Amino acid sequence: MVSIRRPAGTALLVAAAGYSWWAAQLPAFSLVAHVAVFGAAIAVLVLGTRFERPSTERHPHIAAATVLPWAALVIAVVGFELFNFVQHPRGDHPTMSSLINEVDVLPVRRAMYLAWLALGWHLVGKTRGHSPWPEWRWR
Amino acid sequence: MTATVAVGIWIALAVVAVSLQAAGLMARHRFPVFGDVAEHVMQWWLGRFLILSGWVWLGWHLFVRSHLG
Repeated sequence: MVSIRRPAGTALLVAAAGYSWWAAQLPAFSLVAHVAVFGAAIAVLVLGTRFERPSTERHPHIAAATVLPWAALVIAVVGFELFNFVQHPRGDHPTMSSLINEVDVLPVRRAMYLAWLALGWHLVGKTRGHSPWPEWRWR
Repeated sequence: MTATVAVGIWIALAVVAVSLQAAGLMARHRFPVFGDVAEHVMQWWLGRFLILSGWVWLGWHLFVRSHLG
């Protein structure tokens, strides 16, 4: 585990912003758009598990009842997304991506791309050093 | 369902998400923020797999399937 220092953190932020600036304008369904998203995801997963984050206050105990509103929200979002996905016409049943299409402003898309990378970095930090993938052990 | 209703439901879901996060930030030790729930779920490998897969899917869904007009 490598402790992240301010210059390294700033460099990572600048790199992510530059990457978002470039990747947000790639054409839909193109090979380069696929490579940009999955390449960035792999980079976040690999780099995110190698850097130690500043410790933050942790929730001491999560009661099951308090998780229910979040679980209900996730189920509602996924369910509504799937419902819209199988319905037509798309104009009457917008999915998240079709709504994003309406945001036809490049700076907003660039900011959203950067926010997506930041979310991934944040989530990988929540794994507390566990590998995101199975920890295979040879017998 | 009309587009107006569908967009209204999306906005309502976004408002609920922001409200839950705000509630968690204001009453940190009584109600969890999204990060607390994610951290709790990611204690287990399946939780890490589902949450990180969901994040990758979100990026693909938003930035590969959509484009500037």
